[in-house]
Amino acid sequence: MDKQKEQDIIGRVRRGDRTAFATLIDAYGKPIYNLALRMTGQPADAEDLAQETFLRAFRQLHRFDSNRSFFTWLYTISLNLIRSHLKKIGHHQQVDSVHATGNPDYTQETLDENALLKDRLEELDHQLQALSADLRELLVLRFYQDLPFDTIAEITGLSESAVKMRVYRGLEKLKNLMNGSEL
Amino acid sequence: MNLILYKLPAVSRNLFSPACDLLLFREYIFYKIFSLKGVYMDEFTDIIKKITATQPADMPAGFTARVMEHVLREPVGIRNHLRRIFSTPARTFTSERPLSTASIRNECAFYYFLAGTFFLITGIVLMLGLAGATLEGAMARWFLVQPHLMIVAALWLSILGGIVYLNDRTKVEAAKIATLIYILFVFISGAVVMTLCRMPILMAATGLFVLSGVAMGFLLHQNISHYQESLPN
Repeated sequence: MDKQKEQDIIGRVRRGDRTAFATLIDAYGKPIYNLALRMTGQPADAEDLAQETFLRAFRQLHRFDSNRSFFTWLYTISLNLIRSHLKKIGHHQQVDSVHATGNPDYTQETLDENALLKDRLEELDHQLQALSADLRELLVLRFYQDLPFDTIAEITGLSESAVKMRVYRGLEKLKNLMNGSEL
Repeated sequence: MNLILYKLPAVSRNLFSPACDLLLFREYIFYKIFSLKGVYMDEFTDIIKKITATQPADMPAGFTARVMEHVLREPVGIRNHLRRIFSTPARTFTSERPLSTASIRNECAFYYFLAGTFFLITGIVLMLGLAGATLEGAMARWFLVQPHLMIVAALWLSILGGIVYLNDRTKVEAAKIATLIYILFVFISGAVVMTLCRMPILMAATGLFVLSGVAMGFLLHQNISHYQESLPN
């Protein structure tokens, strides 16, 4: 969605046209849901968190600075909610693989094609959940969400070099975890 | 040594201490070294490929409808209205966009409430200050009525703020005209005081007060005009 259209929709919502907010949900629902899904590994939690993200964004829309990107603002809200959620549940419990419990169409379609790929992807998700939340969120934003480093830096409030280094460390840890599980 | 530093727990980074800056600096140096060696990311090509091969999951069916159900049910009470008005950041006087368009009605209404509050406080202070004053003549009568006029102006501007907040094109037009009436009111009041009193200091003070009141009125008028332009036809 281009910025002008986005600003128009935000303006309409601010002036009281609540139904216009649906366009924003349609545009950004998928990445926000996926972010929550990768972070929690639980589709039900991910949906709740994605819903809460949009509700909070709606309630706080009057505070949104039009000079900023709505997309990064939404991501910041979502990450804060996810962090609180993970802290609340104490994310040490073993979570099911996203591929095993996530979108059934996707998993069925993909996994039928290649059983080996299935195992690898499940393993990857499993190991991703074993990472600390701060490293996991950076890996998710960078590789699953395909966001550039400067945008991640804006969302997380870290410096760009800190983001790059932490992504590096996250990848290293993930690799070690995967190598360890193969032994 | 580097290995030892590298293995420090991540939680140490969250401490607000000089050590945190040192760690960030160390991370930056590490990154530069890895970049120069060309090892950054290259050694993870395989793992990155695996991650990027993962397709994003689709939104659950009916997700938008479920969120919208909550959005449409959100209460819009007076408390929420006031909270929104007063928590709206005022951007009209920022360095990038001096006297720029008030993009939202909250901002516009906020300025009216702000101007109203100014007159209310000034009126109360003046009223208390003149409580024991013993003045005589036509000038005195007009002078003593000034605090009450200020409170009337405060109410007038606050009501206009409320009208602007109602977000109706016709009402905004009415508020715009009422702003001009306010300017006229300030001007006439000041002119009467200046005509009746012949004390240079009092005349100068009245002149300054009229000038600021009229300037405030013109800014409010400009602001509401911009806001009106942004409204859909």
